Amino acid sequence: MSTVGVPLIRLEHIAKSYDLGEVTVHALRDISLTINEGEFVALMGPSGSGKSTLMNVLAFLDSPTQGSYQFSGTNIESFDEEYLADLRNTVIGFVFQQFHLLPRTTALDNVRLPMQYAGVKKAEQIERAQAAIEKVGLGSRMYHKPNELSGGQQQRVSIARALVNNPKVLFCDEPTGNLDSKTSVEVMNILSALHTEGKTIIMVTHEHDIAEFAQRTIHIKDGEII
Amino acid sequence: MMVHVHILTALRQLTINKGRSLLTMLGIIIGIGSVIFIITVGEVAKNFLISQISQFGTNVLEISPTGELGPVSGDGGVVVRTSTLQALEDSPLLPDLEALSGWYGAQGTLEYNGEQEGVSAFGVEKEAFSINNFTPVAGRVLSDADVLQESRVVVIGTQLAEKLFDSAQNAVHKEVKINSVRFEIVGVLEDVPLGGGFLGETVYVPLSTVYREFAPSEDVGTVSVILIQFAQGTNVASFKERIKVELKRLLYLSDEEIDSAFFMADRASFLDIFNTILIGIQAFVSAVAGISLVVGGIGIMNIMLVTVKERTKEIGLRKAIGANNSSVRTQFLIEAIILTTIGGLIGVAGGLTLSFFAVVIANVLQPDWGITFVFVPQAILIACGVAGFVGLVFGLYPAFKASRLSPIEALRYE
Repeated sequence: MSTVGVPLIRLEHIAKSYDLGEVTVHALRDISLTINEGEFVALMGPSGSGKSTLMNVLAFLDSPTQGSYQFSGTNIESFDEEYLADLRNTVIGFVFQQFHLLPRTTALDNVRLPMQYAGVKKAEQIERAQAAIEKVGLGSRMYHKPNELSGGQQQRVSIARALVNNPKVLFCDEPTGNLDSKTSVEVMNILSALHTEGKTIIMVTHEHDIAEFAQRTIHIKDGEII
Repeated sequence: MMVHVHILTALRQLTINKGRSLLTMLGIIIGIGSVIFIITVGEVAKNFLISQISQFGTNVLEISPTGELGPVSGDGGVVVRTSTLQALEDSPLLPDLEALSGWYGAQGTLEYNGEQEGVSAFGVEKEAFSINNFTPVAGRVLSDADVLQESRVVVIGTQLAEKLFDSAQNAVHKEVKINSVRFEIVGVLEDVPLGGGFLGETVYVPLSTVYREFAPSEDVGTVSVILIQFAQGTNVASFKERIKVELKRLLYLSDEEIDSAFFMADRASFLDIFNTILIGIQAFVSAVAGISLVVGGIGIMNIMLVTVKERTKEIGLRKAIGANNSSVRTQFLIEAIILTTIGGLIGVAGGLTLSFFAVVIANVLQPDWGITFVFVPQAILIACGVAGFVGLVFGLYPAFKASRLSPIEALRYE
């Protein structure tokens, strides 16, 4: 899909509004934005600014009401549920503030989850999951369950899970929001390393020192880029 | 995602909430268990009955006055006399009649050494033994001479013999009293479970002796049961019709009267009657079990809705990393089906265990009946299928609900 010179993500006049009967809430108003392959972008803004909605649209979790979205040169016209699920599975990875690991399930099995939806064979699943876990420095914690891992370790498992299908973009929603400052730095160092390797990363945060890890910061307020 | 992954996930969820899963499955377990129990026990009883009937000889017609026209004897009811039987035997209409035996029964008390036993004393002729395949384990059966001489001799069953004399051999030539009249035991029969009277052990004495010693004077010469053995290969329906024609003629009965005057059944039709009753019981139990399955199914639906609520975040996560609606739906549907199928399997195991113990207990109570346990594989398969189907039906709504969750909202759900 990727072609030299074509931006990875191009949004043109994207708007998202929610019709709540009497009032219409405009979560996003006329957003145009380009993100190139290999960029590390931070989306910043106060709560209610629309940064989460923007990320949901970018990450194929939500569909815009207006505007066009080109991903890797392909126009995302159909927002058919099954098509979006497939995109979420194969071209993007997700890192959440609350980690969202399956409880009572080993780190290895958590990391295997996206590959199960991709129909990867079991032996390959295990091989790739082990490699991803080792990459985030948790090789010795492969068979630990989330409740046996610290917050920072859990977030690293979730990064491994996001990486395992080798996505084009890593979306991180407040990745350090539930971590103390020391582990925050550890997690951000992993993300920086991934960026150095060429991974495109889009991160939502409201902390300036976390945003500083990114190359570029996009500020959003009231549904618009400022 | 492949189905086997869903099955593994479902099994893991099941073991996480063992107690809850078990309680949820209870309705299914009880429903399936009772159906398996009643079908297995019914089949055991049917097999037993078939083996008994074939032991008796199936080419036997049993005829008894119903009493609908009045009591069996006197009061204007149908009275069948030994002369009527003789006429039947000689009838040119009935060339396929091989043997005939008229019985007259009397209730009595058998006494030996001060021990008393309630017995049904049946007055019979020697044909009664051959028609029923009754063979003596000790001594002999009754003979024509016994009947001619109105001998005070009696043939008893093994169980009674063992009770009073420790063994069949010991019983022969012992003297007992039946209703204070002295009789000599001349033979002991192998016990025939279904041959036993409801009012105690059956003992056989010569028909003429019963008339003389026990029957009220107006009953002398009458019989209450007629057994007719017909030739193998006889058309039973035609044979019955011809018997009716003859009885009508001999007893001066109208067309309406003949139909209600007698209960007439060949032994194969006993099986039909039993089958009808069995199907009735099985249908009733299945209906009750059906209610239990519906209630169980609602329980499953309820717990699946709770599960979907509890695992909203998990569903959100799965969708965020690539699960589509149908995958989520399949996952929860399989969980419901696994839940009910395991419930069904437990029910099958429980039902089989119960019926096995029922057979064991029956064998302890009646050791010589030789009741054997039978498997009904179709019932087991159908039961598991029904259990799975209940899961499918009642799991559909919760699974659908799970699949329709928006990933964004599901991830935010607290």
